Amino acid sequence: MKSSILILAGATCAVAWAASGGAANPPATDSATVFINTLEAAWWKHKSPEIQEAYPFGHSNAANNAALAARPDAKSVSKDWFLRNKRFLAEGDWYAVEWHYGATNVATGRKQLESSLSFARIKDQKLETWIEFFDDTVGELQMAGKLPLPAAEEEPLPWPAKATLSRVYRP
Amino acid sequence: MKNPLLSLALLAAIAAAPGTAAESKPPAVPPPPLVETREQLVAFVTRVLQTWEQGDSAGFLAAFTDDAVFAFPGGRVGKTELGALFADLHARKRDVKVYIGPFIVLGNEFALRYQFACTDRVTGRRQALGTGVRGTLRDGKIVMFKEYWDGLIAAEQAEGKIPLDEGNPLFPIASGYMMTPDRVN
Repeated sequence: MKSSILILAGATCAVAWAASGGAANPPATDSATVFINTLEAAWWKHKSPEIQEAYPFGHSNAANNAALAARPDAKSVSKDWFLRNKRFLAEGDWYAVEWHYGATNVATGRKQLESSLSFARIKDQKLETWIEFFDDTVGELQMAGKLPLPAAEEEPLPWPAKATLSRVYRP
Repeated sequence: MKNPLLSLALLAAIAAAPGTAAESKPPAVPPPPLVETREQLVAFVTRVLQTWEQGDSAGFLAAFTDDAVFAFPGGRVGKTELGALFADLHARKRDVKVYIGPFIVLGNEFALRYQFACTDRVTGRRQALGTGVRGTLRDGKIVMFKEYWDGLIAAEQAEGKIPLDEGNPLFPIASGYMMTPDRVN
């Protein structure tokens, strides 16, 4: 099975392997694992021109991204975004990653911090496919004060662990 | 039986024979299903998801450890609440279909994409929601199952704003539905 699990920030994975006595476990050469160990920390800088992206609010590609950015009404809704608590699972040229995405709303100054699960395919050490799953209502409910922000060390979860608000399974 | 030695020998033979009453009792703890290879893990998780289609609550619950966590956009439940969650979904929805996409697997860890489709019993409206899963097995059962899907898409599908694209398990939203500035944050 060509795969590797990396429950660490990407940049530290190679170090973790070396510290664990790497002779018995040679570094994986799977393209996804190599990407995680080398380039993933700035993954957004390594998109293929042919990239296909999918999010809960729609699909996109390089042309659509450029068209959206060029619109006269294009504006940044959020600022100060960051990612943390990354958890990787890689196999061949695909990897999955969970993380916390944090950002501050430009207009209101309110913060959101939601977990997502993404699936990425690597070709020639560039992101060829990016498919991200998350609940877009989490950020809205957090900014409305109805859901808490997850703690820094909290495992990524679809809804924050300390949420008191609940919703039925698949309304 | 007149010959005591023969009787003892016969009793010993019965006790040692396979299929006797003493040996046919089920073990106190059923052995976990074999989930030792990638193929077995994929087949196992696929069967678990298909229990939603069949309304097989017992089969669904049997796949989880006693301390399992099932997390989704809306909450997080343990095994004791999982049966109620399964029943509640089927009380509200009918014609459940699951469409299984590709897996990423390492040992007992897995991630997959699938699509969950169902029809609301009250409104008759159907939803087909792309779902990302991150899960973990322990001793051949699911100990962690985290589902990621969007809380707005189903309502927009019900209103006819977003196509279902039923049968496509690869994406969170229908193929060809392009991103616009409206919901980008």
